[in-house]
Amino acid sequence: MRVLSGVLACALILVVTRPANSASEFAAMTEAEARAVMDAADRHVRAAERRWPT
Amino acid sequence: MADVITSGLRRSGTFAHLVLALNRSDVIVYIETGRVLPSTIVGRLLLAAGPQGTRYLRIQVSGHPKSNDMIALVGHELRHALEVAESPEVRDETGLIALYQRIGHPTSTGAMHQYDTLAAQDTGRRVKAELKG
Repeated sequence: MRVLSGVLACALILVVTRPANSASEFAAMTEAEARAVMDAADRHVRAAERRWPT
Repeated sequence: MADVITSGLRRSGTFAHLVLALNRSDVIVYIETGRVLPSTIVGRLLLAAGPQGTRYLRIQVSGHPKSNDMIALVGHELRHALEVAESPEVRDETGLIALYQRIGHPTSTGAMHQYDTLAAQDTGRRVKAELKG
């Protein structure tokens, strides 16, 4: 965790604009599938429930 | 934030695809709500120094945590994370800046080293549209 408080690089700004086509070529997950992804010990996308020092 | 990610996985195929693609990469992404963000920024991606072999990214977002906009915003930033994941040469700030000078465009704020990409903008729009069904 300490590494995340280290070097800060560049910032990327979002521009939220109007929605486009709602069709997706990918499938959303079921509740069970989403839970499995979120509970996996080796997951690569993680929620940080506390604020990191900047 | 865990609820935001879970909701994105369940409601947006594009969002789910991004998370699965990142799970297959050498990048670890931490996402936090960032009340520390400057007022003109709603989301940003930072590269943090990490142990050899693994790259750590930190996404900071601001906004209402239970809104569709928040999920779309996280989707947008996850697209940036995937851009970094697909660029193994990016291992430090210099590499990150070089990547976005190549694939991105400067934002309209005119601030130094602030970039966006058309792909991430499109991703945010797609996620938002999928959330609306």
